[in-house]
Amino acid sequence: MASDKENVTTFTTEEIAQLGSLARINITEQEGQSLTSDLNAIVHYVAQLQEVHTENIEPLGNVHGAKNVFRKDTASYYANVDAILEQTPARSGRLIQVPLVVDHDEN
Amino acid sequence: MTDLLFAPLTDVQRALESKTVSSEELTKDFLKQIHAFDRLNAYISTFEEEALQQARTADKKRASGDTSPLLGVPLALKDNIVMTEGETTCASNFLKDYQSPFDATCVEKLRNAGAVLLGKTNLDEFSMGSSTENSFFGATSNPWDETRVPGGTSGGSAAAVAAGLATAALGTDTGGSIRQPGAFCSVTGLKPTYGRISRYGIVAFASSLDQVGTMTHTAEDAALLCSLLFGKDPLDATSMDKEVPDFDLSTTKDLKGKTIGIPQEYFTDALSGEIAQVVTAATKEFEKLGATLREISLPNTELAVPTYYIIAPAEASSNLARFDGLRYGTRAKDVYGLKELYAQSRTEGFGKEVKRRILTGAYVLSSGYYDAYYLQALKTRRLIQQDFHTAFEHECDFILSPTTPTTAFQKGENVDDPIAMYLNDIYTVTANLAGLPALNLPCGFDSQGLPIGLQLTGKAWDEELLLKAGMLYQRQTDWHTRRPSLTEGS
Amino acid sequence: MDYESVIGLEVHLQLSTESKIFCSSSTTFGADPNTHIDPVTFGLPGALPVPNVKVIEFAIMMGLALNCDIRKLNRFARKHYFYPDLPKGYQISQFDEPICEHGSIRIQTGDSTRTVGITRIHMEEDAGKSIHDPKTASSLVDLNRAGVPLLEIVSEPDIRSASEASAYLKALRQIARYLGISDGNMEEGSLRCDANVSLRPKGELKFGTRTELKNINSFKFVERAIEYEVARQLSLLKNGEEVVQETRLFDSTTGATKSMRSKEESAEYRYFPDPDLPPLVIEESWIHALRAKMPKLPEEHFNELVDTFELSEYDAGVLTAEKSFIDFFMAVVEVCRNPKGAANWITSELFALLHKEGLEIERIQVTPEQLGRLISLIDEDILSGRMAKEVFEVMFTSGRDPEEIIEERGLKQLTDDTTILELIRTAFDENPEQLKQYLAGEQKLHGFFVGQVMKASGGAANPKKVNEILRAEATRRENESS
Repeated sequence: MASDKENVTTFTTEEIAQLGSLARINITEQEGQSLTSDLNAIVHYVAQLQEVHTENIEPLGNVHGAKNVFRKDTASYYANVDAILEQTPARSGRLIQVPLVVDHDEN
Repeated sequence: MTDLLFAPLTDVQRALESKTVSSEELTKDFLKQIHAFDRLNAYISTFEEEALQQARTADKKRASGDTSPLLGVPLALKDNIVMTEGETTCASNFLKDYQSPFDATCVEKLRNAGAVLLGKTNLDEFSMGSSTENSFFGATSNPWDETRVPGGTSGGSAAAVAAGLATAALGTDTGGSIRQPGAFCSVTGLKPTYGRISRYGIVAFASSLDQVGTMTHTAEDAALLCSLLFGKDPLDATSMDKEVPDFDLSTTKDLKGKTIGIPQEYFTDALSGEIAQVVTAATKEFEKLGATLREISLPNTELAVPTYYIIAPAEASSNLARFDGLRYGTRAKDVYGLKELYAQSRTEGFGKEVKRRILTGAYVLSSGYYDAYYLQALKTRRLIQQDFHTAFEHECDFILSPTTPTTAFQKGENVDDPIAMYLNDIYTVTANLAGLPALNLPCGFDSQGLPIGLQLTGKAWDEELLLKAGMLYQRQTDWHTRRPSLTEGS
Repeated sequence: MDYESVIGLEVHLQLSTESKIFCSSSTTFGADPNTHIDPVTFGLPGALPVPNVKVIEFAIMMGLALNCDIRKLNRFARKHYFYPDLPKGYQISQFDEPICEHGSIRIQTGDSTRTVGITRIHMEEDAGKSIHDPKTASSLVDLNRAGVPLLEIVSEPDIRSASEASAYLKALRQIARYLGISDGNMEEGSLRCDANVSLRPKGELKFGTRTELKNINSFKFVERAIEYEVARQLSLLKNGEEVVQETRLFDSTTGATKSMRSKEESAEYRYFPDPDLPPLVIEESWIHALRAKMPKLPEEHFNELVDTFELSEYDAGVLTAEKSFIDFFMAVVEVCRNPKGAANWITSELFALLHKEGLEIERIQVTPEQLGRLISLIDEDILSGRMAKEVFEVMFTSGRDPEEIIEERGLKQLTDDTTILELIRTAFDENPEQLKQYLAGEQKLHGFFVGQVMKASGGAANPKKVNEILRAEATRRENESS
């Protein structure tokens, strides 16, 4: 992707709808317009970073350079399993019930 | 009694210790006050029964000699911190009925210290915003001028402390969400170093930026809470094992030998003239304390807001992917088909700002754009952090700046202009990006009587210096003791 | 035109740790649905992952066993997609910084040995399980399995036939079991395999269009699926048609692969490094320490059995099939110093008994040391081979020492020349007719007299000695009469 400000995407409402689909959010007609102009404003604003020369700069992940944080392999049973399941909107016994998954592979 | 409602935690401790007041009485009074000022909409929920129960227990314990540091002290928590009482809503339709089966680690610590937990305060939905207007439960009003916002996203916590509705409150700060409302409401607000306080139980917004912080009447109160909340948590891999500082003021009487950096890039046209004046005046107080002021440069300051508004939405879009209504939360009704169910639940559940951020985040992480946006932002983040490291290594011991470019704005003023809203964070996002501790100190008022705050930013893990500087400043000034004039009713 | 099959396999290995990769819920199989859950597994607001160090160790060990480079700086990455068995809406995995890369494994098909490249190995978390019920138009989700640690092992497209594919899987499984990191059980799902299959003209370097085969859950089915798919693609190409890039599901009842509804867009996973998990830096010292702890691998054992102990490749293969076998074997050899004897006893007698009783070698009463001593007793001529079988059966069911059993039943082999001679003389004397014929030259009566002596000694007489002394005595009597 070119790091040239002129190549910054300008979204159409269709593209916003596609992004919405990717993120599982329906964009209504009314929202579509304002979200599109909002996203355009935002992306054009943040795109100014592309002008910064960062060839030799390491991306910053953990701010303190933390590393190797682990836990030991011991199993324990969570005390409030039932409290967790009580929050589930639809269940069949102990199983979480959702509309049938149509496009699936066995994994 | 009204005095105690606005008293610092340290005073409340003393009153409880000397049995001048019981926790039960104090808690009752706070609950009454909360109701009397319902209109401020600082709280989303109050736990009347539970709080009174906790207060009575605290009184009993005190009678039998218990000296837990927060015994019987009434506190509030931002509603993105999970608790087993009531609901944790994150001010979102999506979680409006969600009951967490577990307490956040910081909540456990408060409980162990004997605190009374009054309720959950309002915020911008999922901590996204700068005004606490993006709440499913309506906006919170600034106690100093109810036509104005209290700031965000910890606006409810700030308003609660400012209006005498809690002795202190916890909030969270991802880009300024404690410090900015602290400045707007004249509350001392601390964002500690990233990794000081466990994020386990904080509903994640931006994982590499979020941090629990304190909203208190004084820096001394903040120090007290920090000494209880700091520490490595095995349940949070980003929490760090660092020695908890000793905040004892008796060992530090002044700031002699300390250099305070004033970043030249912060004093631009974007900054209100009045704030510049008031903050500059405040620097004189620090000189009186023996510190040397020095102008410094943080050359990459301009990159901070765009960097933040790539990283934060990216992480947010990811962290909010779990909200699908399948296992908990609001599931859309009368929807057939799984993909439709996901979309409908999320569409109904999330407000506009949240949607904006999720879409932005999805975009900057998608292949083809990742390198130019997200990866690039991680690099500019390092540049920004380097600026601070250089300053602290060669030039100064901590940095002083305004906290916000303006005082509290009118409700509705920035709601439709995302960039204008984002620019509120101009002085605060840097500390989150660099992982550094930063403290808002009330330092004056503008000509309309609106609070102004100054911000101290310190080296990583150096809350001790920041809070001591704050305590010393608050010893010789009284801005932090001013109260809004609130009238009951209407 | 001659085509060659180009096959690459993607294997998911479920690791046998006590707890999940990012939280301490148990990984035990077979529990009631949604009991091995906790805030992290369920993706509750506020929950955070913390990595299980054992998973990293297992990954490094597998990488070392497969001759991989172990990456020094590792990160976990989030892979986003929406699916009911994926509670967070993303899977924590590794993207462009996998823990192991550039490895290889040697596989044997028939008489030939080939090397298959390993592209990468990375760590990731498993998803939950769904049961799909079209009748109620619902799917039911169990998150017990969500968060169980997996290693994803990707091979280079070096495999050239269905049988090579199953040999590859078997070799991987064997190594995983030797290392103790996984059961590698395809039927139970602790080893899962997807196959990428394409064809290209022999000699062509460019790859043809490939299809991905899923829903394969046994070694046999891997072969059948690949065979079917290769044939299918071949017939398309021979007809001048094109192979469509798609995912196909294997149907075990028909043996065919069929197209899944083709996915509209290629998935956009929005990978980025997981900010909740600090990077892993794997120092040489850690790798050294793990290497030192690793058991010898199958190939090394196999070579030792063939080269040093001079066992047949067949026997070596049988004995190295499981680590428990080779460990047992080596312990027996340690005592009796007779590898061929040990191999024989284990592969025939012991395995027969295991099979008959439906037992596993780990669960039997008899110890390798006891078997070793039994073999020594035979080698020292104290016990005859025939008697030994009987003794071993008793050892197997009781776990008692061979010496004790022999003592108790008086089964010590008879080797004393004098006693044997007496028995022979008695046999001769009691069977004068047969003796006359034997001395006259009827060789087959030799067996008769041996049998008589064995009977008289209760089977304890050393057959070799009986033979020798019998002939000597016969010769003596012959000389006497002439």
